[in-house]
Amino acid sequence: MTTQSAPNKQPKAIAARLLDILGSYGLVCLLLAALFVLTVQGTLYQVNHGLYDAKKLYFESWLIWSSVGGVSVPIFPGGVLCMALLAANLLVGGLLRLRVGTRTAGVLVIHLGIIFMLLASLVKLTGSEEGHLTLYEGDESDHFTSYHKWEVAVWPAGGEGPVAEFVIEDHLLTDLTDGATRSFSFPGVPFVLELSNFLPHCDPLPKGPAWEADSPVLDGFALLAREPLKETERHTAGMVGRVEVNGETSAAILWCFERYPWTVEAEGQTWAVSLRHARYAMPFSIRLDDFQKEEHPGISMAKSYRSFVYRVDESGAERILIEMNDPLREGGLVLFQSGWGPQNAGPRQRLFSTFSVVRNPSDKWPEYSMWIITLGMLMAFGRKLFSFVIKSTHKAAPLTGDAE
Amino acid sequence: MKLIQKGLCVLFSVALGGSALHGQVDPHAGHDHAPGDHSGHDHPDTPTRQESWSDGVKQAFATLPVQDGGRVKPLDSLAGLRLLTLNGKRKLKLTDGSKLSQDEWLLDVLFFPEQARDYPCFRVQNAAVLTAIEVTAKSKRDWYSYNELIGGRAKLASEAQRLHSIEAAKQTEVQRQTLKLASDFGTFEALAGTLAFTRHDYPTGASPLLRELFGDEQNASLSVILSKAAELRALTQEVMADNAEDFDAIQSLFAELGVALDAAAQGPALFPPPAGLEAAQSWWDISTVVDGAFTLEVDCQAQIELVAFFERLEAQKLQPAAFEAELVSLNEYARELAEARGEYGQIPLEVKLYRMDLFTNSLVLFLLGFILAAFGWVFPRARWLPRGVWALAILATSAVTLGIVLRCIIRQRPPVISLYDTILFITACGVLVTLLLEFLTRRRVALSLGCLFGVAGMFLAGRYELKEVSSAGDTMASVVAVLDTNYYLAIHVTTVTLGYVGGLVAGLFAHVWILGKLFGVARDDKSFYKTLSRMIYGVLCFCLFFAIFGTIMGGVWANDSWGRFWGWDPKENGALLICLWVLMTLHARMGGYARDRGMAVLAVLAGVVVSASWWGVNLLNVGLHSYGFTSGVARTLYAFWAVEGLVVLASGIDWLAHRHAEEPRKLAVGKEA
Repeated sequence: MTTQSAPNKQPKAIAARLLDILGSYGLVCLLLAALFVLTVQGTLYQVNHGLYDAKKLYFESWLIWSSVGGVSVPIFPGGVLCMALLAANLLVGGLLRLRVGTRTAGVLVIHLGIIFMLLASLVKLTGSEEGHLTLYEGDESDHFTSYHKWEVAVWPAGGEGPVAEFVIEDHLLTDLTDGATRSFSFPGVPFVLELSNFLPHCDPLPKGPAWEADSPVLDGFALLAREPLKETERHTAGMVGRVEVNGETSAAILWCFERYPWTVEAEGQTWAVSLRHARYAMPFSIRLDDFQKEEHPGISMAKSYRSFVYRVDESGAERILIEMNDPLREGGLVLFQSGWGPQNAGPRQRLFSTFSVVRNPSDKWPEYSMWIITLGMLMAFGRKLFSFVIKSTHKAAPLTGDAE
Repeated sequence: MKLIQKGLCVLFSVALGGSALHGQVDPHAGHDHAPGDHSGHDHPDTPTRQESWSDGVKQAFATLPVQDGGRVKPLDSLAGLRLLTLNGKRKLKLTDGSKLSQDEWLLDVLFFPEQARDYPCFRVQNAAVLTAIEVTAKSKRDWYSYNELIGGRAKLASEAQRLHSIEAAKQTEVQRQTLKLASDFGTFEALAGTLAFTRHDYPTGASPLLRELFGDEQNASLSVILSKAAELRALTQEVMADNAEDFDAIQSLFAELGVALDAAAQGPALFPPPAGLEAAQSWWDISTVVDGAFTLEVDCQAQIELVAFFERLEAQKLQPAAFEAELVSLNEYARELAEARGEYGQIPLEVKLYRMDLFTNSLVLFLLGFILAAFGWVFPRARWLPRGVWALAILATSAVTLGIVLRCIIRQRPPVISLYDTILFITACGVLVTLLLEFLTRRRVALSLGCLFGVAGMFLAGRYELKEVSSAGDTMASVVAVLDTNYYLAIHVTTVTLGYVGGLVAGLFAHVWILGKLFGVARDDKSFYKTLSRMIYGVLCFCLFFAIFGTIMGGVWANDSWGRFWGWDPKENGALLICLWVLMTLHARMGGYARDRGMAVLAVLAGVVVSASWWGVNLLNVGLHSYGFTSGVARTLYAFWAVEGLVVLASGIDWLAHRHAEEPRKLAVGKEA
């Protein structure tokens, strides 16, 4: 990526050597080759393991680990490491050490655009939230739900109107496997909640002799772990909650599809505890007014589907159309038309509409980077093309025979 | 419309004491029979066509509008697509050696179905399919008529039902072909039964009340019955209570209607909906016409008139002159109805597109061009040869381009939507790139390669057209909701496809470099290889520009459609692989790690990466780009990769043998990044 300085007989400092390596063509070739291999592997891995696992393993990891003789060792750089090194290589070799001139201006702009795009990826990876909002016609919601992340919520039950919830986030739950436990206390809540036995995909079943339980047996029920699905958004997580109130311990299975939350009586107050997909608040509410689906004539292929919604906040309600390829961008969120149902609905049956919801601070950055990179490529390749055409028109000669 | 149909069923179910219009007990149930073979009430004679269809008939028939696959198209297209699906070709070769065009075949299927059932129009590619349904095979691959296969009809239906429960990816080739044969059978039966209603007798002379309504004839035609639908409906309500004789007669009449409509079920939608239903997008088939006439408040007179046209055609089918005159009148009438809905505009253009057969003709021209180019290598001093190649290449490329443009106009869409479109577009653009390079270099290499590229591309297009028609029913099929945006289709898809063009053309030039070195072509002409290397480099830059722009633009589209710029979806990854590979190639060149031979090898592999992105990822059947999934091309793809692997291997061996003769590797010291 960089120029190599003219031969220098003085030994270089280690830092300078490192910079040479970091900005070298050799490194960029290696990194591009590594990314190529990762992309091939990650693509093939999806066929049997699903996209979510492929992303975690190959593209959102620093290193790829494998068990060698029972010991876990890194066998290949992960996507994050490759892209971090690529960004460093671009910075050192493609920007700082590049000789600036008319010949290199295009390359410089391309590198700037790529760095900007990598930065957008980093912001997306670390600072975005995504989920879905599913509403039946007439329903309204002020939050959206994660596809993959879980949370345990604790709130005072029985009250009317909005209540404050205490929420335990995904990263504090998903590592509670293999006997690990974690205790949580909340201001104003008169008990300590201990959580354990997290299973990402399981079912609570009456414990019988035919199967080994993957969690303690509580009231005759226990959790049975299921094989992970390729579509991880269909996972049904479960875990065990335990509290001690007035010296008495009570425990319950928490399962994401439970009909009612687990309730705990303490100091005259009933508290509800529930495991569910993580919820994210929106700065406004969305009410689905009408969902419309249009099919191509004579066949059952959808031509378009669209939702008329009301965006509701303190200022009032505004009617907005969200349809394929035309999302709603509002308050740092983007809502996309992504699904609908029930698929077998009758003519007068109420339909629901599903919106993908994303909060991504770098939402439009890739588009800006695209135009920067395109400008750079036009400058760089345009110059080369011009020079190629000039040379060719002057030097063109036939391979054999007479010139045409 | 199905609701209306159900409503009509309920109406007559109540009126006729529980006997619904549809779902009559089939007198032939449990037996193998063709739709429309309800001989008890059909016209007993089964005449055969005595004369060839006249040009006037074929022209009037070809431009009849019909709605199929979500769009209005000429009957000529429907005929071509159906025959291509069944027969594998747009022409049908009969057992006596004569040939039928697509329109002649469909005319026979519609008006002389008994005769058409003897046409060998079912292509069976594996005799094991016939063994499975207990039909004797003629040979391993052969063509069969409907009547030759009819013995296995029941077995085929039950086998198809069983196979449908097997996941598509897990089906064997024989199972897939069995399902296709079952589908083809259904297609043929639907077409053969389309005009069954014109060959059916509807008894109206059995009761005084019916005679009062329809006259003294024993039978009436469907159009006559429909024209008196309101009166018949009132009569039905009236006699329901206490008139057993008339009630039985009306019940018999509706039973016959039900039988005729069952035979016509699944036929093409030939009837534009009534003027009062402009908002209705779907055209009507005959059963919907009947439902509409009996249950809708709107005026269905135009549709009933169309029914009458078809009845008159059936009556006059043995009188060529009268038939032609009637068909021309029908054409004009149907055209007026379609024009009133603004749906006729592209019909003549589409007929022209298929009549010109631009893509087959371009294949022939490219082939001639390549043969001429080959002569040019043998007779290098013959100046007219390269001129001829130029002319043929330009003519062929113009034909492909014209075809693409016409398809854009007909669909009102950008050029690339389906996999079939990508082949046409890549071929046209690839040849244009090679011609441009030939214009700049005048080496005759690019000119020859352009023709070769054209031959390969149009051959592939011809082969894949059959596959796309078999799976999607059309090569101009309707698009799924997410693709319904001409802006992104025009920019993202075309630019990514241009990236494919660059990778493939660079790979093609690289083959010449490698094979030329291997076989000692122009051994002493260093400028030959230098020019080739420059072309490989230039085309790779072209590839990178469009691949990167198109790939990122695809991310921008995904950000608007699915809520994320990049999702590591297989199709996205395929595009990324091209970008990564070409970036690596160009940086390896700049870093001095790849010189001319290295660039040639990497360019060959760029072609492999493009093929993986273009076809390979579609075979995985995972991801959000489900509209691009395909199957049945894996073997061809693996063969291509194997050949390319051999080319790379050969180059490696050649390098080992001659490495001392080649320039020593140099580091790019002090050069720009």
